[in-house]
Amino acid sequence: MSQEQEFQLECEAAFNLLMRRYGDRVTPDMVDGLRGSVEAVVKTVAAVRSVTLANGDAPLFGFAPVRKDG
Amino acid sequence: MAHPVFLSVRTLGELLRSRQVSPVELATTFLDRLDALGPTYNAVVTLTRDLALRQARQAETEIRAGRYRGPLHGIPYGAKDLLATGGGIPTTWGAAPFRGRQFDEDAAVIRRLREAGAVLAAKLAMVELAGGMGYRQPDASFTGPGVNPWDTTRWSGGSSSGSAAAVGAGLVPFAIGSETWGSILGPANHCGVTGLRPTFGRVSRHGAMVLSWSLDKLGPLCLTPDDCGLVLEAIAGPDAADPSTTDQPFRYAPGPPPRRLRLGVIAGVMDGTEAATRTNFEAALQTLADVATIEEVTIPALPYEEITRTILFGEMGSAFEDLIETGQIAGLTAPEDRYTPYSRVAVLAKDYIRALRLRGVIATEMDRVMRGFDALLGPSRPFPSTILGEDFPSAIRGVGKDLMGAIGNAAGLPAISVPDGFTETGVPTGIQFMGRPYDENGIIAAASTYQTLTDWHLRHPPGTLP
Repeated sequence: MSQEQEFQLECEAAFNLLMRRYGDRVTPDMVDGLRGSVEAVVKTVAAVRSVTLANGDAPLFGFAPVRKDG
Repeated sequence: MAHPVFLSVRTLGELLRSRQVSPVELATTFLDRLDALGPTYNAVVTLTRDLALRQARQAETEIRAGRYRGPLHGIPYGAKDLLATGGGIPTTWGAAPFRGRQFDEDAAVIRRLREAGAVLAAKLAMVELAGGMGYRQPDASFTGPGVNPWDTTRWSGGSSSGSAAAVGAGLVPFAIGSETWGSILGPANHCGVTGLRPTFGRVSRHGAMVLSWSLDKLGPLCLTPDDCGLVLEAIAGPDAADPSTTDQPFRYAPGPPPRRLRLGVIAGVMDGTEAATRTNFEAALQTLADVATIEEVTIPALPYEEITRTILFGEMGSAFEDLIETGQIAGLTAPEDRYTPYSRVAVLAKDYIRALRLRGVIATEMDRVMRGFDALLGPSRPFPSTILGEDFPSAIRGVGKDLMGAIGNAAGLPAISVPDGFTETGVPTGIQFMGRPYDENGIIAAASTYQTLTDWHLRHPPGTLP
């Protein structure tokens, strides 16, 4: 499956999920904008997923800026 | 005495301390300006006249008795309307569903400014929910779009719209804004004022609306970097009520840099920048070259905007979960804000955690890159103020670039924006100085140095001089 096909499938899955949850509030004039927003989010997370990380690359959960004096 | 409008906080503070001007007179001057001119810019949500005059009278009594609290004593200011204020003063978050809503207690910043003797003159307008719902055009607040004092057909920027417009138009000597991604530097850029985004954790967010726990910062908008230093000292400090606050104290140390500045410019920072912004930034570099060594720096190739965006989307989805799940977003002003939040279901938990892992990479790499530099430079925004009614480019939406904004906010770095010129249509542009964590003194000194070489900050919007 091509990357584009995977991208479209993920967009469709996300859109279907949100319609299942929120479809009663989505009016016809919102649909195009919502599909566009979903595509933007899926593109965003695809970029984040594309970076190779090592097992030891830990999340900054207890977030504090890093400063090593030098 | 010269008219107090457009005098710096430092100058006004001295006039108050030496009793050349009365706090009550000063408060009345700015309250009247907020009342008369605030509506032109859609800058004011609530004018807090009674409170301001009470605080001003108290300041007058104290100063006369020799009980001087410091440089903010008796200085009027405005607070972005995401900061809780008790005493019956509404806190609306810019959102129609919360019009008239009140909290019982003041936010930590409001309390600290009160303790410093500052006078709260107004709650200032903001983009609804600090812009986190996905707005794409300026009409995204129940108070109307923020209007630029330099050109009333253009946007003041957001989400700290009223804070920037009020300072830019001389309606208050300083204001408090907030930045999650761009919301202090952006409006400071558009309105031609100085905006300081402190290091993450410098200023308690207790009592402030949350958009994103690990991205939100509160900071001052003023006429000068020096004023920002004075205000930051008053509001910074640890707070047990906000565990994200740092124990590192902030003591403002005014004065020139101790040696020749060493400044960096990230390769590619100008990509996608509008022409006048680029021209003015390059001219600013030429000016700074007289007092600084400026080098190009290279940073690792990472999807910086996407990383910061994923963190933002993940956290805002939780911060506003109630609003989203109950469908209350249908009551928001911007049409796109009524549905865009639903799209964030596409952010999986593992995507959010991955973004936090990449945040660690960004923070470590940027600390390495920035070692030995006093600041990295870039345009404060990639574009100047846009026309009201039109969509604006936004890296948060994925339309447009904002490399320094993405990096600076992901890594919690401080940055200050000062004006660096004007476009052909007469609206300001700005340059930002971004520093290492906890180095607000350094970037204030660098920005102040730039202002000794330029006079952009001394110009004021047409029709605002008394």
